[in-house]
Amino acid sequence: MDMLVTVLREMLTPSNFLIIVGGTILGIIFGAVPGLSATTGIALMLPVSFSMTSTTGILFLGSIYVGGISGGLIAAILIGVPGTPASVATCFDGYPMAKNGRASRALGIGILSSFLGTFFSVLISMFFCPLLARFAVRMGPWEIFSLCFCAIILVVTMSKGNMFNGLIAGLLGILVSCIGIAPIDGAKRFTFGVVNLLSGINQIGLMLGVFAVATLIKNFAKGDTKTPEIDTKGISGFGISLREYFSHWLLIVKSFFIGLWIGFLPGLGAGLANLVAYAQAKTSSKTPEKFGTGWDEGIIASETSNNAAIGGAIIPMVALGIPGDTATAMLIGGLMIHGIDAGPLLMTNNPELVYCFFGVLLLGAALVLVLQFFGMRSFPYILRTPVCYLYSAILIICVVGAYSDSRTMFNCWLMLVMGVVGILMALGNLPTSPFILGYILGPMLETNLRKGMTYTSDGFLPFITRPVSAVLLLVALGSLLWPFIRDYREARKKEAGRESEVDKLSQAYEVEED
Amino acid sequence: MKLNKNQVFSVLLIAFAGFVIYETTQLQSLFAPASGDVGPRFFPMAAAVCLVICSIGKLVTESKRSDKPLFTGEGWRRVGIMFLLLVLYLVAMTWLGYLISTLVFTPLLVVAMKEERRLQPIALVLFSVATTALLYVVFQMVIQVSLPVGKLFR
Amino acid sequence: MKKKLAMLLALALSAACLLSACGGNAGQSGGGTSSNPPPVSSGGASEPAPAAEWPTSKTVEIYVPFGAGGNSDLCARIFAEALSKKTGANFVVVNQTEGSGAVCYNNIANAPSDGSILGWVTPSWFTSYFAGTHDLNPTEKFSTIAVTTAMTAQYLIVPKNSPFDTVQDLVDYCTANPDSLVFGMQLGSASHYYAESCKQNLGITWNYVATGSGDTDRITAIMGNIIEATTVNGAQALQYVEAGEVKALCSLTPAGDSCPDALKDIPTLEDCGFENIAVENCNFLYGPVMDEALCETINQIFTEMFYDVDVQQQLLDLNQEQAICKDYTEANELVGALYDSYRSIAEALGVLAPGM
Repeated sequence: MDMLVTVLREMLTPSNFLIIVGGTILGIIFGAVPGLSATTGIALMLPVSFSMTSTTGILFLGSIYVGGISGGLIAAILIGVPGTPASVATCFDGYPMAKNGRASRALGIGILSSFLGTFFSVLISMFFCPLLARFAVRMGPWEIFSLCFCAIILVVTMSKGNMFNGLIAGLLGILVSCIGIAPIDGAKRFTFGVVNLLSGINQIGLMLGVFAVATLIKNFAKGDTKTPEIDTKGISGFGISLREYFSHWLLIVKSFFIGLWIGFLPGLGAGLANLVAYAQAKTSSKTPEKFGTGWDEGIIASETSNNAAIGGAIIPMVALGIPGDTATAMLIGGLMIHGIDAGPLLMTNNPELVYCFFGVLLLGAALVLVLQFFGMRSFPYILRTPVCYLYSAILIICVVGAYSDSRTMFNCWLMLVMGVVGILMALGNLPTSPFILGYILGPMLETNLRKGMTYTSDGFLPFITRPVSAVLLLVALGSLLWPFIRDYREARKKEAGRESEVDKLSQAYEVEED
Repeated sequence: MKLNKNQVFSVLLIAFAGFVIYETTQLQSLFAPASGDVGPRFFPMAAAVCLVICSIGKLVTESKRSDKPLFTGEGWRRVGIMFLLLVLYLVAMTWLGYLISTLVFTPLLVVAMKEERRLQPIALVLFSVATTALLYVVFQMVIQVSLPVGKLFR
Repeated sequence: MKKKLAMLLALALSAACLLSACGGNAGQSGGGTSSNPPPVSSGGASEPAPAAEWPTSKTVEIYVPFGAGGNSDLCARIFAEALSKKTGANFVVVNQTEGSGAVCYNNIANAPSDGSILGWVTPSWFTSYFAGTHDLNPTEKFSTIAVTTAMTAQYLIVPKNSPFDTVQDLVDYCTANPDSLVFGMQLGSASHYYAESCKQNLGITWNYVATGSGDTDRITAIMGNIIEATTVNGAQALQYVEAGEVKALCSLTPAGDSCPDALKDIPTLEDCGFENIAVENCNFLYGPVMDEALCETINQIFTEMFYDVDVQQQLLDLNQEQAICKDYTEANELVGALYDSYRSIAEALGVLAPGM
């Protein structure tokens, strides 16, 4: 109780409260501008926090963190450009919904989901931190490999139409991720003597290329450039009634736990969580064909899970000093500058600071909700801008964003090349989400496979004999076979003549990723 | 037999995978392998082999698929123009720096995408200056990323 | 703490020629020659006041080849902030991780030689050169302005429920079971250099597994009982040792005077009857090849800033207490000596890229 009073007193002093509000707004801006992210926001604001007291510094950095993760949904929904991998899946349904003239509704759903994700995951991590963190470190390379493998299979099998297309896209992503210095032994792979490629294909360059450049140019080439209607006038509240929203409670809970769990494994995080949750939502939905056309459930799954990953990521950070993602790594740096060592004793030595941190994340989540609630009435007006102006501005922002991420023109060129790749993939009906996931997970798959093989003398055996790992591999296998089994059972029910499996694969929906 | 677009694509994918496999065999590791390690070749090799298999799968399953083109001729012309402009923009940025190139290419991009819309010259100029200036202030001044000054002015 | 610098230099040079360095409060260390002479000739100890002006540009960029939030980055940010205050110019830290640092080194080598672009780096500057990641010899293509040496030692740690309580337990086990102890490190990184030197000094063999280059990666693996032993920085190890999450068997080098109490009682390798390792953890402030007078000016301003009370406190808070070289001349001698020392270890490890 005392702690609660202390924390509230710290947070609600006028100066600290102003700093939190400022940090949250700053975070939202960093999250919303393509090429910037919560991580860049924290990095840039670290020196500013030097001059503050340790508590104020933590409040400031924490509010940027929350704002930054939530801000990503604005760009993803309104212009179809995910600022970070965390909001890739939000584009799939958010952007079509905005294009169909329901931008405010899409934003409303995203804002609500992101609030629920952050708020409850932080609450959970507050109470179960020490317990869950123990579990997190016991995850060896075997479990992480199996989890990544399972994730990639889930996403591949959800891709529309021909499963081969999903697999091919995923494999291409993995091959792209192989470029650069190999993990473990440092062999230079596919760099062709280009120094800039040694550390691999830059993530921001790739994301902006495949999503922003390719998507905008495709839209323009198809003549799909009419200015969408916006629904800011006729809406009340969040654009969706709470009753309707919470009718998806099961999906919310499932996505929440997917995000929480993936977030708390060191090194994974929101970028993986949103795609897995989306895939899961689609597979278990009664209407999977509606996904990708502006469907509520898609936004809910993505935004709940990527924000739930916040709570997940801070569990090992607070309990053990082990960062769950790059943003938390930066936060640990921020703590250390104030003389606070993040480690297993953080909770014991500086409890008031830890609770202030939890407190600011909770308050930040609420502030984001309020700020974006008012913002969602004005953000969609961006869409009123004639396409020629809007697209030009986005393209210029992307070029500057790509440049600022690595301070090299090379990254801008890389973005253009990835734009071409994006268009080539559309030409071959290849979906983009398995490509991105393959790119993100490639190094993790490889590193953990190779680590797992060397840590014991049993080779591949531990992957199957360690229980968590085995279960994950079984899930992967199951979801690879499930579509076939489901089709078989449906056919049996109908008792009617049915096309062969090959025909079934080839019939496919048209790929309409954008 | 005439191949449709999807099949040509599959064949090209197989060729690409072949190239990757060849490159993979040329890889050299800097360090002696640890016991049990599969080495740096295994992973790209496995991915490339799977790519061959999946491409064959695509080739077979999509033979009957309708050959609907992605863009019309006009569409491809637009793709070409956009990439040409962006390439020129990057070249300009490398040599002339951010400010000049962005001031020049923002209106060019707008004009290229104007379709049937009639543009007002004043709005165009205002928009270009505002975009350039806003990004300059945000990146250069607020978050302190020094934008390119151009090789000619160094 | 000055003593350590001198010792480090002596250790580093011992392979080339036997030198005795005298410690003492003045911190004067013995001079030395390196096989790769620094770009400028060494001057005397007492130079006339340098005439060069710095900073001459409104903005000075400090390039760091690591991601934001890491130890080096935080350190650079502290310095940048303090230098901005001190000089009135705007100091900005640029994280350029592209090409595993290669792009960063290239940019600095080709930067204008007016001190407007500098770099801050760890010995990965050397190790990545030896591994062939970049082809810019650190002692030839750059001017090293200042060198700092970390005051924290590296520790050999094992899981809390490990059967080993002393270094001798571990040695006995490894002698009986060659090549089987699972030892975590990252090939080619500093952790590899520490581990290999330690292994050679102990005269045993173990099974190296890649665990990741960050200290937290290795501590995580120890806590999860996934590896059996590893080395970590004292600053990182502190809390985990204190909380009983890991056991520290020994330090690989003597810990500095500021060593926290929890780590004070841990013996050094030498106390355990083996030799301490000769690999030192240090940082470099460097730039493109520049005018000598300019380097001296920058060194002076940097050194003054470094001794600022606030800066010292912040470094202490970060557990990154460092000793700075006396002047620009010493920086040059040190970088040559360190380069040679790292190179000889790289050779012993067999991690030199072909043609190095």
